Amino acid sequence: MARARVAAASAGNPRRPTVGGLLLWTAILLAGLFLLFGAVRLIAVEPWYQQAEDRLNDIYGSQTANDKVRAVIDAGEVALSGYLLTGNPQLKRTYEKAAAEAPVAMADLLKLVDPTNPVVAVMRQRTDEWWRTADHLVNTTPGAAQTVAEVAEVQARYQEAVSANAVLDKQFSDEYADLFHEVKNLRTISVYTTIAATLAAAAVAFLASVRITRRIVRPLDRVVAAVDRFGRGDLDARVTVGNEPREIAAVGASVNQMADQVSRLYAEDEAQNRRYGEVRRLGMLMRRDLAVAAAMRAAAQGLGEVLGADHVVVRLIRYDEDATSPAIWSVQGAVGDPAALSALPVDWLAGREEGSFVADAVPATDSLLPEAERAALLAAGAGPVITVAIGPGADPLGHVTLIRRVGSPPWSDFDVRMAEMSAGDLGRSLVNARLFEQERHLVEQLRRLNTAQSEFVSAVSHDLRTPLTSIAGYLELLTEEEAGPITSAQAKMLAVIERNTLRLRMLIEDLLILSRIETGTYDSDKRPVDLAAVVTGALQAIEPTAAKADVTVRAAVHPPLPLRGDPEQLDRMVMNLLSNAVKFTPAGGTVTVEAGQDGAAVVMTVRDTGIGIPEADQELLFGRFFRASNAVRREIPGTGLGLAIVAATVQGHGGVVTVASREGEGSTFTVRLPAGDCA
Amino acid sequence: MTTVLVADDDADIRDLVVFKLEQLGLDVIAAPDGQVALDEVRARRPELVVLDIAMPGLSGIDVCREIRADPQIANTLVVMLTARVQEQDVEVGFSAGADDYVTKPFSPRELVSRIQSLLSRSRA
Repeated sequence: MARARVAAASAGNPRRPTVGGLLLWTAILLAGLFLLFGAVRLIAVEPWYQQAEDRLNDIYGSQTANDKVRAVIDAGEVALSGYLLTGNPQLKRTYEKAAAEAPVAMADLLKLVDPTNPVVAVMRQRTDEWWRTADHLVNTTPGAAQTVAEVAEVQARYQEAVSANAVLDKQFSDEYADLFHEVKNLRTISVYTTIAATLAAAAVAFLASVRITRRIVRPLDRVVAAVDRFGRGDLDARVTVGNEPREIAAVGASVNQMADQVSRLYAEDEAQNRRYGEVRRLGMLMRRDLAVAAAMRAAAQGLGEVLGADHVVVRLIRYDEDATSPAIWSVQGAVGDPAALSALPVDWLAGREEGSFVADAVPATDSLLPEAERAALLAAGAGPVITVAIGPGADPLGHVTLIRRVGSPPWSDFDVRMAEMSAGDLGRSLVNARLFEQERHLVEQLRRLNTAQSEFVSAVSHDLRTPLTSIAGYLELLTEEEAGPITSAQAKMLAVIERNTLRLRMLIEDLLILSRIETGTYDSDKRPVDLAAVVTGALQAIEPTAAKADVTVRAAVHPPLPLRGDPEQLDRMVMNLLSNAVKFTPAGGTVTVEAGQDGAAVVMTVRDTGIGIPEADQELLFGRFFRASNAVRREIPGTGLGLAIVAATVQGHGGVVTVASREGEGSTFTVRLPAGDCA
Repeated sequence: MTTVLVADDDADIRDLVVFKLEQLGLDVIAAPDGQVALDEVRARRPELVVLDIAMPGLSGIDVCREIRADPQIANTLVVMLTARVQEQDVEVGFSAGADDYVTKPFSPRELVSRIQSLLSRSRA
């Protein structure tokens, strides 16, 4: 902000140049330079040229006048010589005409030249002498003797006059040549001077441009660089203001002002984000804390500290006689006492359409704010106040009330949102806590049930076996005629009792085993087992029964078949499958047992040529107490638990048991178990 | 005459076992619970005792331990009867010092033959 003010002040400095001013100055400078060259040429060079031209004209005029003098002499001499030789009066008249012109020509020349010039004086004297001599001669008689001598003299005079004239002419020519040379030199000097001046002007213009460019472009570059840095997130980037033109300084100042504004907004945003993050963390804390009272305390303190409240009161609606006491947090040195507020019921907010209650000051009246609540807010010294519902709006679990003292800044929308968010988190926390309580209760119940079941199984075990022992024992005494002889009819009846006693005993045994497998009490005994040994043992055990039923048992066992398991359970599983196969196979049939390894699995199949299983029964075959319809029809005894034990055992060992069967043709049971080490 | 003791709180089973053992010509003492059984063992020094495990008061296991702990009667042969079949129960029985173990429901014939073989082995 300070920087912006400095920049703005610099921009207003009247001594600071402007871009327009700089450009204007450059233009003026260039125009001045060109005007200066023009003026110098006009004032210094032009008059000289004029003078030179005048002098050239003078020389030309003088030379012409000199020529005229010569021409008149020549004409006079020609006419005189002719007259003297011929006596032709015509020629005399020509001479006289020339002689008349001679003074005029001389006068014309003398008007143009300096008479004191010795060359002119000599030429004039010789010319005059010739004319004098000639005038004298013309009046003599042509052809006379003395005349010839005089002619010779006049010719000598003529030669003298002509040569004097030529000397003057030569002087004029020399003068002309000198002047011409001078003009030429001047012209050359003038051209070079112009070129030099133009170059100088161009250099000045170039330097001026460079200087102006520097004064414009460099500051602009600084502005661009600062804007670029700012754009890339360097919020401290500012345009440094030096002595740049006013417009650029103004741009720089504006950019700085904008940057300050953006930085301020950013800082505000960051502060909000920080507070948002704190409220979020608070929410996580509350959700993690499964104790209701602790979550409420955390909410009260967290909201109070993050949002800057004087008091925060968290109240819950009474739930299942579970009177969780309200949580109160007050800032140090807070005015007012929120105790009264914390004791008030929290059912009034559910009726408000807006959901939350937000006020800059405790209202004098509010149709939905209960009078007791209003009084309690005043007692708590409330100025700005927020009350938000905990949990869903229609059925809130409680209220969170945030209070600032009278005269404090009102709650912002952000504050309200944060309070609502936190109340939502608290709601979820409360629901979770209650769910957790219920779950714990449920787990406790289940554990009790489990114990009860174990005890029940134990009781069944003992209490059914004891009477069964009596029945079986006394039955044995009777059938062995220890109590006296029995009739054949009695023996038949005793056989029925014995069969059913056995069945009851098997039922109890199977039930107990199944119960143990399913509750996992049997599960602790897994160790390396060779299934081949188990199968071989079971084959030996079933042999007498199979022989008695006239069923052939064929076996193909490929040891070792290592796996991890409970040997007793596995033995029972194999035994159940084998005894089923023998039991359901009519006399003369065959039971084939194969056991071998198939990759990572140990596979055992038990195939029989028995009565088979109706297709409709196959799906339910492994269920408890299920008996195939044809087995029931044929009155083949069984508990309906054997295959359930097989399935539970196989499942307990991580394997799969399947059945393939056709009624009247036989059944094949296949057990696949994961192979393991065989110690 | 060889004396044996049969302790079982279930009278029917007790009578059954007593009946079978008396048939062998043994002198049989019947006890309805553990305490009576222990007292009788101390008083009459039977050669062998048949103990039901689940009895009110002193269990068969307790009685077995007491017998083994008392040098005067420690040599008594002990056969356990139990309705429990879990391995750990069998282990507890043996660790308490039982010589044999028969689970309910049992065949009286089988029980008697095991008792006979125990007696003959101890005499040999």
